[in-house]
Amino acid sequence: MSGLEKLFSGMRAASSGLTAERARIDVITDNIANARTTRTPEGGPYRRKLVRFEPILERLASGFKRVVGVRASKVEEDFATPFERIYDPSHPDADGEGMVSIPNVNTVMEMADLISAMRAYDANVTAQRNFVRMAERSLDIAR
Amino acid sequence: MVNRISNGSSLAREAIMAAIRKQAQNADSIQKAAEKIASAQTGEVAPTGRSFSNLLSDGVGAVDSQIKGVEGLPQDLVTGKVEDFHEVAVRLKQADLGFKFALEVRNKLIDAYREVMRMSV
Repeated sequence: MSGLEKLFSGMRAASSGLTAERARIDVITDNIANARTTRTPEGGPYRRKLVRFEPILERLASGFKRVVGVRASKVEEDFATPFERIYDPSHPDADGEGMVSIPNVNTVMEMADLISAMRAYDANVTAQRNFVRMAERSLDIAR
Repeated sequence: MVNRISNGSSLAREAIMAAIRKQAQNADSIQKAAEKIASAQTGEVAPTGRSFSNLLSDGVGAVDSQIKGVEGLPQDLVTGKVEDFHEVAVRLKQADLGFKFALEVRNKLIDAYREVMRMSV
């Protein structure tokens, strides 16, 4: 990391937070869009997806590791929540008894997640803005 | 349109760079003259470390590379090389901050130069 890069490490951390939250928002919108998808290439209805975050570590010269940001490391499928089964004999994917498996996506829950992701995004933007303000304030010393 | 904006910014950058280089040269020549005077008076050669202009041009180089990184941003944006919206804003702001600090250093340098020139010998 060059000298100038090091100065902006706070900015890059906040920026990585923005990238991660955007990945989360992408997955949530995927879930909402597919809330009624009853057939997928893997077979069965669409399964709800979740993002897992992990810290970005940087190895220091002293051997210690330092956290320099966050990243969305993995998109996992939700196997804990079961598919909902509804009675709809006219549905093309209905089985012999007229039952259809619909995705384990709860739109209300996804909307709540979306709000929380948006707020987290806003928080990172605010952190970013405050970092810039701090740097500009320090410049006032020289003026 | 995007190209034109980028061209304009590169022209402005070149002009500012040229001005800073000129200042660095001036500072260097002043330093040399001062060293000459000092050695003439004391009869010994002043130690030549890393000259001030070298330090300055190193700093300018670091800021310059940052600004150069931003220059291709408009093209990156329209050709889809930028993966996130905020990436553009963050890189712009980083270059802006770096440039502001460099500008302040340059201003201080010119102030010092003027102060020296005003000195009555």
